[in-house]
Amino acid sequence: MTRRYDLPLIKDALSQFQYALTAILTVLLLWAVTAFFLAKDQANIWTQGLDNTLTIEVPAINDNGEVIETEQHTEHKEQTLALLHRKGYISSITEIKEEELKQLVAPWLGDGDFEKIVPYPAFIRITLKSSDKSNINDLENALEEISETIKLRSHKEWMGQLLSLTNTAMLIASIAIALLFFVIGISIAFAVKARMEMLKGDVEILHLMGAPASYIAKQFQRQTFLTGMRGSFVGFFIGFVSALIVIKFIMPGSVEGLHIAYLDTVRIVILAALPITISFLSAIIARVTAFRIMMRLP
Amino acid sequence: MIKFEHVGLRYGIGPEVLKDVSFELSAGSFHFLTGPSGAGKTSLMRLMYLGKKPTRGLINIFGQNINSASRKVLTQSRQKIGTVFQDFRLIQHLNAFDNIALPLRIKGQNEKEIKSNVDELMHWVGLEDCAKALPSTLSGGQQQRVAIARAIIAKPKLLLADEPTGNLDERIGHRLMTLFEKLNQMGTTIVIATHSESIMETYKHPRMILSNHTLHISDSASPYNSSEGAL
Ligand SMILES: Nc1ncnc2c1ncn2[C@@H]1O[C@H](COP(=O)(O)OP(=O)(O)OP(=O)(O)O)[C@@H](O)[C@H]1O
Ligand SMILES: [Mg+2]
Repeated sequence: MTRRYDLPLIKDALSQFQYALTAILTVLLLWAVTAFFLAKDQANIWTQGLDNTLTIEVPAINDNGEVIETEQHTEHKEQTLALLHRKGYISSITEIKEEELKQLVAPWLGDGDFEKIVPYPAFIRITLKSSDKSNINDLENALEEISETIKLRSHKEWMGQLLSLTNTAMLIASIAIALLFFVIGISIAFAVKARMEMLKGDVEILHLMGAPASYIAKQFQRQTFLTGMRGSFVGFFIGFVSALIVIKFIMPGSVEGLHIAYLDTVRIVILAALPITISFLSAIIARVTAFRIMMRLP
Repeated sequence: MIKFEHVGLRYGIGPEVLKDVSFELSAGSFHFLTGPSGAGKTSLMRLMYLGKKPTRGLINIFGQNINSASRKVLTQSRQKIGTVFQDFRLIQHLNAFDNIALPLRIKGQNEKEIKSNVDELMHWVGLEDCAKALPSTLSGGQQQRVAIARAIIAKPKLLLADEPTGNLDERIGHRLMTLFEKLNQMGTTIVIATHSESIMETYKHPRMILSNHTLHISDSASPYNSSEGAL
């Protein structure tokens, strides 16, 4: 080390406060970023794959609530299946079996022969080769020719609500991230102010000896940088480990279908950049604050 | 070198501590600043070391009007001034060596030169055994010598010393006065605030006398005529 420092690198209550606060805020920051990633992944999972999956409902009741003749219903179904097989843009066709349907509705209706009273509609699940809008339009028109009662349901419709949920989560996470950076900045500025107040006499002596503001600011910058670095790396470690534990062991069990945020290189870089950013942010804020205070000396 | 014109100073809303002070010190001069306690010697020093701006009047140091000088000019001017504060104002967590080295570090001198310069001066002022000692472990006289060494280490153009021999025994007091004389002969302008008649008698330099909040200079004494006797 060639550079020497005149002001003490004290491990006083103040630097411990800055250290602890930085660590805690870094943990929160890491959680907020993880939450953002999670919400984004969930949105992707919900939109991916489901885009191309559609369900066709051939109802047994027409729009006026009257039961359609069984022969006619069967005919609608046969015609629909034949139509689907003709269309080249459909990659898979799965007819949902009546037993399957019965099982699905059993919890609500019991296992009586309710189809005598309310016949079951037929459901056909299909997957498109691509989510081309023109294919969907074509299919809709073709189905309408068979019967106006047949409905094509895209999963995207009801997905919309879930997506607005994840979008809200992402927005909240972003606001939390911005707020946390702001709070980190404010707390550092006050720590530097308080430290300069404590070392007022020493600062004044250096000033009277003709030390430029940059010379004095550098000394506070170093202390603040080191404290900020220690705090943010400890916070990073705690935050990372705790986020992993929560995601891996607690969340999947309690929330069905929620997926683990995956970490690619970009995300690892973003996460690793957090403590580094906080360290340098600390140094910059310390410098600016020190300069501002120095400017008040004669 | 220094020119005061109708300078007045008050602290806050208090009365004027200095009223209508005018004088001019030429480069290479040596003056004693004297006057009763509370007369304003330290306050006048404070204006000269640029620790405070006057409430009225003009101060010109090194050819710069300090009322209108930029921050950069003030910083550069301060680097040319060495000050011994009446209360020393050593940095408590730095040892004697580092306190003395401060002005050189501020100037950006390299550590090797700093080491040899500081060691030499510490030897001169009789502090060679105290390099690693913190100020709080030093006696009043030792602290005063650290303060003096710190003031002169960077070979200032102007040396301001507020009661620099107050805590020293006569032998060391004279030794330091000899050091000041030498610095003065090498061109440093010096102002020493003192109550000591014996010092002012021995080293015959013109006196700036503060009384009734204002200043007059008595030029009766002629410089350098009895400093040899002190050696
Ligand atoms: N920082 C200050 N704030 C308010 N008043 C002050 C301050 N410093 C000095 N004074 C007042 O200014 C007057 C002159 O004080 P100063 O310290 O300049 O006297 P002095 O001649 O150096 O005295 P001494 O010989 O005791 O050191 C005193 O009345 C003192 O109360
Ligand atoms: Mg005084």
